[in-house]
Amino acid sequence: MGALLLLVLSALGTRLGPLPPLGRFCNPFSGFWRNAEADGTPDGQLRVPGLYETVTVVFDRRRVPHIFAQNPHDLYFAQGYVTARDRLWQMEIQSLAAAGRLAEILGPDLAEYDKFQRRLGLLQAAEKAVDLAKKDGESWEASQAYADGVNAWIGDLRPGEYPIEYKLLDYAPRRWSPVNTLLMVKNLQWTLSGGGDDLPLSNTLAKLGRDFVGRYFPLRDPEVTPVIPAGTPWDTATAAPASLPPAARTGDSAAAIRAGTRLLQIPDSVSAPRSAVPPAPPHVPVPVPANRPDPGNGSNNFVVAGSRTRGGYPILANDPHLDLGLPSIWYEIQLSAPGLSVYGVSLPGAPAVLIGFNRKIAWGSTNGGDDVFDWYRITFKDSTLSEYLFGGQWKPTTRVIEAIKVRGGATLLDTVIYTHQGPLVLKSQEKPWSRNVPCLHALRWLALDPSDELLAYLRIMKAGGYDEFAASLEPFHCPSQNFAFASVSGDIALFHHGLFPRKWKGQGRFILDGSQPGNDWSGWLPRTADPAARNPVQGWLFSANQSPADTTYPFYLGAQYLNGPRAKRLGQLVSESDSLTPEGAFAIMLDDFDTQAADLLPALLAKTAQARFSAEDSSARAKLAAWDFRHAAGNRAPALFDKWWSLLYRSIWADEFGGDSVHYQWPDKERTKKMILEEPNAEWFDDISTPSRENLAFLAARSFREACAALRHTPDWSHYRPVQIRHLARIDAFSSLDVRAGGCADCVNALKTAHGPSWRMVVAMEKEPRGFGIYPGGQSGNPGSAHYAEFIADWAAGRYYPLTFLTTPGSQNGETAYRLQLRGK
Amino acid sequence: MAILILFAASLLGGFFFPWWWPAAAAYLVGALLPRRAGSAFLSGFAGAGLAWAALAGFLDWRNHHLLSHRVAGIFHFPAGVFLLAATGLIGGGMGGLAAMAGWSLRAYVKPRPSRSAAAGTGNMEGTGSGMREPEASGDGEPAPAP
Repeated sequence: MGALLLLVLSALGTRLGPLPPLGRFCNPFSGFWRNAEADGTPDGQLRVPGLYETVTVVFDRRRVPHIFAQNPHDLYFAQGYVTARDRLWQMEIQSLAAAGRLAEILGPDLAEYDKFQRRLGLLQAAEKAVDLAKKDGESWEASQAYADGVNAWIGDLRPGEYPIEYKLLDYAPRRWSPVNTLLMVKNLQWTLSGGGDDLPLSNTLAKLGRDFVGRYFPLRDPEVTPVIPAGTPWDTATAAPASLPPAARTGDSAAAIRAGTRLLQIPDSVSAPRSAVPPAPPHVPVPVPANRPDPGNGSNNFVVAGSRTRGGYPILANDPHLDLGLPSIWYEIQLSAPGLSVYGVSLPGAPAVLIGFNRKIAWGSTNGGDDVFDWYRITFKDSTLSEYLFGGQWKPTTRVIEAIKVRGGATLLDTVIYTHQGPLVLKSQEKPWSRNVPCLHALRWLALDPSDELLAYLRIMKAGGYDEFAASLEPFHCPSQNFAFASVSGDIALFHHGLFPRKWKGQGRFILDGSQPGNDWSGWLPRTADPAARNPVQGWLFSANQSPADTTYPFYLGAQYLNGPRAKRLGQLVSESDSLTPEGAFAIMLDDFDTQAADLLPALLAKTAQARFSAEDSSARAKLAAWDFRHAAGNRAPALFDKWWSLLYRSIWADEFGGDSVHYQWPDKERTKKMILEEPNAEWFDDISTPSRENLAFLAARSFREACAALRHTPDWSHYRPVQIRHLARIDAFSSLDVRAGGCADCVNALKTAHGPSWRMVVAMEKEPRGFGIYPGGQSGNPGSAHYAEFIADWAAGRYYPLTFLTTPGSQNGETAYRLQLRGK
Repeated sequence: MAILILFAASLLGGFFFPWWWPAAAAYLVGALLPRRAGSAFLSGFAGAGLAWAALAGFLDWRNHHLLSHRVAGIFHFPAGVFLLAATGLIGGGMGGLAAMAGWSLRAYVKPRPSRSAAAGTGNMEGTGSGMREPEASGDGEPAPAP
């Protein structure tokens, strides 16, 4: 009997498969019931050792903390403390994921993921960044104070007070350190600069040739206004573009790539590099898990000068588009200390505010999209991978051994091989983690170099005007951003800023031959070469991840800008509004008009005018013909268009690429649209897998019938494209899976199923700036809190909250919910 | 009586001791009070189970069932109230089993205590007279007055 009791107790105290330890989990004293948050929090006083002086935190009704500290140390300490209070699990899991330490808490299933992260080298890069921060001082002190604040919170926690995810997964929070903060920064750099289609585009080049790539993968779309308006003078006196290496100069880079591609499928027994191998496309075995930054990681921002607003003051707007998750990637906060008072969103796990405003200036950013992520094909001497060819000589590789701890298993040791370019992310015959990661290639990635982006934010928050803001950006290297700026004194500006490698034109667009010294990055562009504009005559500036500058800009920065319909539409809307109000800015950000559809649909309808359709399909056609090109949640026409267009797009290109969109980069939809409009007889409309000759009209009619059949039971756009905001651990019950909202991938309101406007902010730069904002989540990371998913319904409905900027902790207004006094002694 | 003791002990001790505390309390009570295995189980089950369910129910009510509704989804329960029941069953099952284990220890140390003697429980602090009687009914409901 006693043995049975012990057996049952140990079963109740142990994780069984996916189940948490049931006894531990269900007991109402320290199990999950303790996470059931009660309404209302009374004012309180807490002793928090480590603070120098007393800090007052005013929480408003949306649970946004307004921190009033008397010195910078206490400010960031308190930021760490209150952020951990609301978001501890999220911060920790995200930083462990970036570091490649998930198997440590989640078990052997995550060991492969960890291995990939270690190969990428984010943990090493974070450690290097810590060393740099220590030298800079300011960001180190902030990160250290932040960590002390987080640890003060963790130190006071009893197991019953752990966030519920710790209880579900049965582990305990670890101490926070500045490395964790730097890992959060590295993670953002991975999300925003870890893309690049070098591999699939190289495959397309090898398969269809230079003419095809040149024609269907244009570097820029002339119809899109660049980020920095044409005619802006460039300060290029201090820099000369990099010269082309001999191989590229002969114009034979395609052949060079083709000859080299064999190495992508090289087996472990590596042969000498001289043998002539027939050209073969680079090869990545399937299946490829979705572990790569979303290519649609984009954003919008715009600034309009007082001359073009109704109130006569500048207006700034920004909405970064990121993966939508719960808890949200953003945490709203106001930070105040002598010399500093700023409101905006912060990254849980890092000090400072990343997008926001103070009493003088406002700023917001979109991803720059420049190419700082390049792959080098490495010629190894033999299968030991210990020497590689560079500049005609064999150079030794270096090895780093990564120890991956595994919960419930033996520690895994993995040897990571580095060339001077960077790490070999995949050795041969390894399961690929991403479609853009080739085997036996070295990665040169800016995020692996030490940099101190945090320092830039610490300075931006204190900036009082244009000059200080511009100077603050200096330490910000990666990922490059389009920083929009507006000030109470009337300035507007846009900076396309990051650290840019000096590249020859096209360098790193395709996979590079790592044995040629001329293919290495050769230094950096000076800061003065940044494309930037201040107070242009036109009175407005905007960015939507499009090309930073027009063709007169002398340097090559990359080729993967999103020159799509979104940039066209946003440019049109901003340029047309000559008496903008904050409400007008909201409307621009929520615009769901699809310019691609507006251009394309009339042509497709005309092409299919002669085709015969069933009565049902004909009525669907009539509905489409009457569509206003807006992706409204309750309309069915956009669903029909999207399905039709996707099927047609696929039927145009699938035959050329054998249906393989993983290993090959297909021309994008915008370019394909142009082909439909301008080259209706292009050879690519023929389906080469059939003996007969197909044309555009045939493909369009067939795909329309298929689309109608596929959508028989789809009532409207929001059911065709539901918005799903998932919990970070993919726990459905903690997710919002049934959000109905308009917008589309190519709309200004770029809302996709799991990706979209992660923070919408508008700031009117009046004498006292007025901010408005909302994000799809809630301030609390606790699924048992009313503040967990509080904003989602309003966000989906397109509403904005006025942002309460408090000037003193005592300022009374109806928004205050409660106050916490944190006393050091 | 045993139920009341266990209910109170589970509730109060829960704030200070680990999650398995009701098992320890029930083991002790089971070893000291009940006459039969069945009544040991029932008092352990009801005392610990009700204590867990009551506190969980209070926290749930105060939270407007927000969390229980979400967590119920993880276990594929249609509503949070099932989770409340599960909590009671787990607490109760643990308490009942422990009480029975305690009782069987006594049975082992002092085999077959006779109905009249019941010497095994003689060391209970002064409550002995009221304890033995009700167990005859064996239904484990709160002890009626003698």
